[in-house]
Amino acid sequence: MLPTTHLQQSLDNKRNWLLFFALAVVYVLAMFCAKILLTNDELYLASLAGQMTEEQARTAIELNKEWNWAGYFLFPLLLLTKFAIIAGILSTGYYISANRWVFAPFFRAAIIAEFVMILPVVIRIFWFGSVHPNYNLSDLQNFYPLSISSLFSSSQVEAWLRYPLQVASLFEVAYWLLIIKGVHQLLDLSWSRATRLVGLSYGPALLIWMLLVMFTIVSTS
Amino acid sequence: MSPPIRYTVLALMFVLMAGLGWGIHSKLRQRQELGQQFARLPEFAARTLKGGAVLAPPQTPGPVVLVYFEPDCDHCQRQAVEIHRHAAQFGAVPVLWLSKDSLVVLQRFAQQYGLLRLPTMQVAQIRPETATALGFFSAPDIRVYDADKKMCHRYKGETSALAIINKLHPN
Repeated sequence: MLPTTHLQQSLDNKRNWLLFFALAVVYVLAMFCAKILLTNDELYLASLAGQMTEEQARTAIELNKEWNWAGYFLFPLLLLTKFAIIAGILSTGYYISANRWVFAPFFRAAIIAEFVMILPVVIRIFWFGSVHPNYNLSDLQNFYPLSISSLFSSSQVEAWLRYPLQVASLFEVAYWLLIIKGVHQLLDLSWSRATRLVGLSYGPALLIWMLLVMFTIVSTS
Repeated sequence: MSPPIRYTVLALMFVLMAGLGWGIHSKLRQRQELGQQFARLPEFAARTLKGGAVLAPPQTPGPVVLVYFEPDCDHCQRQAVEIHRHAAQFGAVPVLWLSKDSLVVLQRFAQQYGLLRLPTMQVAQIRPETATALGFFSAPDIRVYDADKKMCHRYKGETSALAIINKLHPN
């Protein structure tokens, strides 16, 4: 029995890493396409003209170009950190409720759920590429489809309030549902128990994260 | 897991949320108070390069721009070049350059960046306590006041002269 369990665990781990690799590649590709198709120097210059001198703006753009590649390499690491934190939070919640520690299924659930977050990037490319081609950098940065934030123009909302309004979106709802489904399937928990587990562990953690982001914005802006 | 540990985790989460919530609230209140304090151009004492007292800014008709600077700071030096380059577009709007440095140093700065040749530019010295009272903690700190002497924008750090001009003449 033990070798089979060990083999199963090893296969699960391998599948988790493959899934993570696939997600990271798709994500980075979508971001790369968005960058190539939607932004150029003129867009950045027009946006920065109101905040800095032209010389400063050009220096910032050149610096951005030089370090752009680093973002694509760092992004998978950030994703990995995010999944580890989310899986850690769900595992802690599960440990508190069931007195049993499991990590890999939660890690897998977090990766699967993240796929839904690629959709806003794809919608952004489609929206600004064909529906609304006259845009500026601020439009691009503040575009969060199907979120409460999309009901207001960026100037109507204070900077510190933007993040929670961006998070409150149908994609976040889908993300929650996918995590709950993942927990339900992978840990063989009932729907209500899986919902309670996610609601009582990921929910407060997300709230604390949003408060931390808001606090940082309020303190620095 | 034993109930005490569960309650400890719950209490920790609650404390963290309450702490952050309180932090946001107090920062917002602080910002509101600062906004009210500097919403209007206050009266303050300053010395011109010739040693005389500068006119209290609220008596100057029309909009006013205050530039708090430090002569040794690179950003302030570039800001001086930037404003000088677009000086004509400021029109008759007085630009008051304020610094805590000595009059000798300010005189050198004004000469080096051609501020003395522009009639609307005035360089003046303020006391450190005045700088603190006016909320000048970093340089450059640029404040644009409209004709009613209400602050319409504040730029912390080097900024484009055109951005300032756009605030002065929005159309």
